[in-house]
Amino acid sequence: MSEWKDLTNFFRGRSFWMLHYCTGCGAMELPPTMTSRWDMERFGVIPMATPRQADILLVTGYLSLKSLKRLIYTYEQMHAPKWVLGFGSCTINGGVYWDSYNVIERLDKYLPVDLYIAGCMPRPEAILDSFKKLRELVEKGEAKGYEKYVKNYEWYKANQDRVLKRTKPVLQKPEEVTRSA
Amino acid sequence: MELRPLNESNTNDKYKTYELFIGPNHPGISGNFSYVLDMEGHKIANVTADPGLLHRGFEKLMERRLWTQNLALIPRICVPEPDVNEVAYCMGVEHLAGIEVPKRAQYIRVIVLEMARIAAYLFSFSGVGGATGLYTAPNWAIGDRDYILDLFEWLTGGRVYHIYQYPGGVKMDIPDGWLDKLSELLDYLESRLPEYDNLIFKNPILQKRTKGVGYLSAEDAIENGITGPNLRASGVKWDIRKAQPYLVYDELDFDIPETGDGDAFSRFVQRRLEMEESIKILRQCIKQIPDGPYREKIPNPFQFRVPAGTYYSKVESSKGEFGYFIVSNGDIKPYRVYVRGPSYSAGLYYALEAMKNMRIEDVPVWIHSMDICPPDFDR
Amino acid sequence: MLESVEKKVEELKRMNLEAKALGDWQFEVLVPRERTAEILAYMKATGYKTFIHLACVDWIDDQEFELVYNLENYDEKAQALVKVRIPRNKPEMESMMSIWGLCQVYEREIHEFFGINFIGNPNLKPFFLDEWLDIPPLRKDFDTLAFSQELFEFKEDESHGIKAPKRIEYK
Repeated sequence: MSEWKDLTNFFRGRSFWMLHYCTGCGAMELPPTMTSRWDMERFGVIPMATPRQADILLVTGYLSLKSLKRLIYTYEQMHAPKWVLGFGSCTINGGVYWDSYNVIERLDKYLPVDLYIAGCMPRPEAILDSFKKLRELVEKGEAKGYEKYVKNYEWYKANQDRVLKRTKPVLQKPEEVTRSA
Repeated sequence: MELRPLNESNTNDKYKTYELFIGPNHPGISGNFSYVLDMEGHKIANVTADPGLLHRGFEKLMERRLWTQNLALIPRICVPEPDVNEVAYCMGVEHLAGIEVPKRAQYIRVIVLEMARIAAYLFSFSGVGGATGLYTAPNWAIGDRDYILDLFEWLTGGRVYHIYQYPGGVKMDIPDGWLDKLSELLDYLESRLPEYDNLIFKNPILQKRTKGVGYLSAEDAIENGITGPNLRASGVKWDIRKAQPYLVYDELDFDIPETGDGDAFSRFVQRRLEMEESIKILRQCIKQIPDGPYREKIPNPFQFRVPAGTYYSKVESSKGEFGYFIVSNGDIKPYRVYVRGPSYSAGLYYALEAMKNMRIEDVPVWIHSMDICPPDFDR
Repeated sequence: MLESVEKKVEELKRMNLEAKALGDWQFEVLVPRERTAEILAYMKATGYKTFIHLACVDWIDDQEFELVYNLENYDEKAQALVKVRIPRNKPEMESMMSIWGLCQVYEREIHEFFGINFIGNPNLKPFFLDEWLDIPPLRKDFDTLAFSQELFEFKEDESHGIKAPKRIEYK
């Protein structure tokens, strides 16, 4: 049985279909990676428009609260096995937007991240390198983020609801809120 | 089983109209942004814009950072062409603080701006290709854009975000041999232009797809605050570089190309013709750039106070008028900065009118012909 | 300074308004709230046809909001910043949609970020932010760092070993 698993992992690592969802400014370095100069298709990675046929969710940069909601929908639409790549320093600790009121810090509180690419923004070589690293992890059977998500679903869900489904103001007392609906 | 006659479904109101989300995860849209279309068959009955997916609260963050710290933040407002932000912001700060910029620094700024403009136009060519199913165009245009990014990397150390401008000039001088490499690159780009013409602009399929789509009259463009190449493609000869010259644009000789048809195709052609002018400007800069200091020293950046005042500084970007409305109260941090993104009026307001009664397949063509860049209106 | 700017400033001064040039090609004019529609319509009729932006400045020490209408004149190559001050405790303003339809989106944005009500604007629904319950974020008394730390809980002691950013305030 384990040989069979090794074999499937070998092939999975060589045909990543990457969901082409430009969540942030990091999407700017993807066209060079996709097109003639770096040509990530050499490594079996191609962009895919629909989440249901994609294997990799590349979170390109910061996530506003509104995007986070869409990203979670997208992630839950994808079929396992699926992997999340955090792209750029904004997904690691908020990056330059560490004090922004609308940008989340630390993506891995909301979605299981398998691999981070550091930098603002990472170069195309770094993206290609991350695909190689992810392939190694998949072949070893170590990239198991999607299983972690299912196992700890309550924890992830609680974190997501905490920022997305707010029912009362975070800071101020309600009577100070002058804004009408 | 009884088959329903075909025309009966047309009278059934329940299926007559439907809602279609174009974006945020959609190959036809440029960036993380979404339109909600109410469709009647293939025709669009109503449009709602849904921005905010890229909102980071720049204007709030800038109030919390020092005048010079903001330089690291603002390039991220417009990703395809980050340098316009830095230059517009620096010009505003310099005007308020009364700093004179040396001639050489002004020339370097023009070089950087025009290179960024060419890069942004090449990026928009790839958008044209993507919107019409011509996938050779992205491969060529993005590949050629990378040569420009390589030069940027040599000059500034960064491929996409350069953070190269500074109040009073630029951070570093031009390295040896860089200008020669730039003129080599210009020769190469010029030799590529006829090939782009053959691939994109003389392509009969692309012409059929884009001619007559999204017609924009000159009056509508002025009324709706549309600027830049889109305005010029509608026949209004307005270019900030000519009308209110900043930096050293008044010492350079260039034309404003005119297409004047106002449809999607003429907007594409307008960008292609302006690219030629940018190459011309860069050639003159290489010839005319004087020796001298590249930066006027400013006092300690941690104690750099800008005198109280208001100023609106603007730069002609590849998408239109990019403006910074800066308010200072004499502190070490800006009191308020408002960023005027060129896509704001087109993407959030004019789109709702323009897309009505358009067919669904023309939506990506329209979006890419207006060169709508969501980060600059989400901020 | 451009001649057209000089002329316009003189003309506005004769209309009992405070006006001054800010640069070579731009000037500002302070308008009382009740005369805003009149002055903006006048500016539009005299060539300032393009609406560039509507910005808002929160002058918290004066307890006032300042609305800045930025207009551009392509023929005279001039730019006008029309400024209106409204009290902060009663943030209300007439909508200028009848002059420029474009004002609709700008007013909606300012309603969201500053909480100013625009009378006559039919659509002031949330625009950029989803489900915002705090005070409008671009007001000066809104603390974005405290909000971010409270909501996104950046704590040092979590297992990942990432340190929370240090707060450095330059005075």
